[in-house]
Amino acid sequence: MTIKKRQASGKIRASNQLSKRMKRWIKVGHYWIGALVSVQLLLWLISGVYFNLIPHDELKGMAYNHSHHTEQNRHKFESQRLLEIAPLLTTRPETESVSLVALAGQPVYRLDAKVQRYGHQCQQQGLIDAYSGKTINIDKPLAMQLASDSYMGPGSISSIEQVAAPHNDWPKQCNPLWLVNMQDDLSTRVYINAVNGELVGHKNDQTDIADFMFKLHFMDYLNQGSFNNPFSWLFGVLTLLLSLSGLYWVAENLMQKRYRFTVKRAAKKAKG
Amino acid sequence: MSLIKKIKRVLSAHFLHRWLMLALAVPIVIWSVTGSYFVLMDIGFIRSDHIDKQSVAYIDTNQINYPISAVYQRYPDADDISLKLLASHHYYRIKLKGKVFLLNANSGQLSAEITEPQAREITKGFQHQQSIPLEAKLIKVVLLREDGPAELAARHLPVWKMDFDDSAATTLYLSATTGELVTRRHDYWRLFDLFWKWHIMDYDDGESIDNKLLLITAIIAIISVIAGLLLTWQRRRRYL
Repeated sequence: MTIKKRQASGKIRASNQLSKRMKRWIKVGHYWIGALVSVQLLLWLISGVYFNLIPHDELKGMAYNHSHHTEQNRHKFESQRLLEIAPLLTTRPETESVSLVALAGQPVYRLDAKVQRYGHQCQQQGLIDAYSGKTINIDKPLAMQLASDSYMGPGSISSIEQVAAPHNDWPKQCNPLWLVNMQDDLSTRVYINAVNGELVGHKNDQTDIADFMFKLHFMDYLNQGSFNNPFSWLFGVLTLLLSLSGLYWVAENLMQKRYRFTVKRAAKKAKG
Repeated sequence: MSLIKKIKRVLSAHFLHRWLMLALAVPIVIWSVTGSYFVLMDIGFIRSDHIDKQSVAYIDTNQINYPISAVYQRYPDADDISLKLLASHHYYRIKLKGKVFLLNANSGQLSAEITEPQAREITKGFQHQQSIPLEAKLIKVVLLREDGPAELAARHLPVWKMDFDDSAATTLYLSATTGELVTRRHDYWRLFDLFWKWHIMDYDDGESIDNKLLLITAIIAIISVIAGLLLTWQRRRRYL
């Protein structure tokens, strides 16, 4: 019935055959693309609402993360004990930069063979004790101390292990990490970079939900830690077509005065 | 009776989808245009990971005659001290109270502000095959002291703003105190930032994802999409 009506009104408007067929295809397209992407569209919206409502700290695992709440406490080193850098580099000629850093309160030289833009990239770094000149490895006791220093929750360390990339919790992370499990209400997991001792971050029950939501929103179903993937390319373009055909449909409804008609009838009925 | 009918009508998938989408068509088009842009443009390209120095220069130990212990003694409150090469000279880079400056690693002297010829020289190092094309020319070089554009964080000031004439209108920002590349922008990145604001519907600074407009629009959109999903079932005979 309605199709006939629409066809009739189309004839009155003297639109030619081609544009009529075009209009029909826009609607058929809207129907089928809608059928295809509507579930993902709902997932985008639901995860979007989740990001809107959940505090940033909860998304980023900051609940028990110490670094967020206190100023980086300055460590005072004994300047006369700091070794000259030049002799230390004779055995490591390929060094682009040397940084004096504090590791568990002790002065350490961090040698970079190539300074990387992102911390998650494979680091080409070595650590040297700035007082003794000895090479430092991030071993288990040191990793435990670094993890405890970053933590301000109620729990204590329940287990620790070193894990190699790829990491489920940090898809882009290239370096080996120390995974330090905390016994607390959020099952906090502290990650320490095993190359340079830096805190990678905390993961917990809250971030498990958040990371799942990110996965849904980015269509990162292969856990690559990126939204540049074939799923989102396909569904992005399809959704673009869906929304544009929908926009056309709304415009057509407006031009054909379909919205006004409905309001009028409802108003009349309400009066009666 | 008529009231129940009316409620039924208003709650029908067709009515909801048609009416709610009247208000939502434009926001949803914006979401899908911006979202498609984000996923189709490689994020590494957007953040211009390709703009990098061509080769790595290593520290020459003969060039470090001023000991780091003396540097530390001079600046015991420094947040950060590092030794690095910049335009083939060795420097200690010191970060103190949010400000970054250089000491000559040979003499221990405070390094003067980067001059325009130096800034041009450093910029040349970023022009090679994988980065900013060699044909690109610097069309504008200015030293910004007080105010920078919105795309530059104020903490980086003072900076040399180096504008290229390539098709993406690439800009490099070099710190005037250290000569380091502090940030960079090109038109695809600028568009990405603009689209980000539109995507999260934060039209002032584009930084708060927790705004009410986004929440309300998304919730109405959920209702409307569910109605659309029901419609695909109800209208299946028309399209099969």
